[in-house]
Amino acid sequence: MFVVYLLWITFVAGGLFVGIAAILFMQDNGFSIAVALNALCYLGIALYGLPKLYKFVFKRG
Amino acid sequence: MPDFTIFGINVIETSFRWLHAFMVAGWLLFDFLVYWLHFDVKNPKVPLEARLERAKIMHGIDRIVAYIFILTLPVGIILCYYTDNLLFSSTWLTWKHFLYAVIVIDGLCLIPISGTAVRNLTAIKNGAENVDELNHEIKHHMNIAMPAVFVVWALVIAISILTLLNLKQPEGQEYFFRSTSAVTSTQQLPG
Repeated sequence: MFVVYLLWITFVAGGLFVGIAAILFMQDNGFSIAVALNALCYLGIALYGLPKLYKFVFKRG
Repeated sequence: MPDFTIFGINVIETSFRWLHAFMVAGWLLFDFLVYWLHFDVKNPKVPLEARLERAKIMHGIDRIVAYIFILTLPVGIILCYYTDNLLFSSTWLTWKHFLYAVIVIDGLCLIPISGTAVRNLTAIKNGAENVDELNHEIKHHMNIAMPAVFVVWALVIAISILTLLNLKQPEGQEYFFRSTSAVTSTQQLPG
């Protein structure tokens, strides 16, 4: 079970970290398709993982 | 950043680089093992004990892969900051992060079907009546998972090649596997 927690925490924390970093990078350096795809994918992963992580932490059993 | 240099080698940077490379190599190797084991697990003609044993080994390997998968991203991010290569500072690194995101999405598709083999084979061993149905579910889930595993292999190999082609030796910052091309301005001077 520990590894499942770690997986979802990594998906949510990593997704938010890289996704927000990509948006901030585009704010400073202008639009780039590669960075935009990163923002889209990582924020998508974080948003998908957030309810799963919430369910694991608060609604187990 | 702390700089522990021994015999001209930055120990922290080199350790993180090798750790990162070994993690990806281990990830790929363990995925090959899982692929090799899955043939027996989904085959109902193989004795139940052997299938269950292989399924448990597969599950154990999958757990190691999950830890490697979890650690690859933070180790990579630490390496980025330690070597002063910010996350999106170069095109190849940006595309590499994108490919990793595709792997994560691929992994998200695999999570719901992981553990089916161990669960169903244990049920069969405990005397479940719907053996055919449970066997069919194992085979069905394995057949769904394998294309996703092939995608992971292809992407990990692509990421490794991308990294190798952009690998530099720190001292002179020269590329290992390609020559550095000179950058010249194409702008015309006024007048």
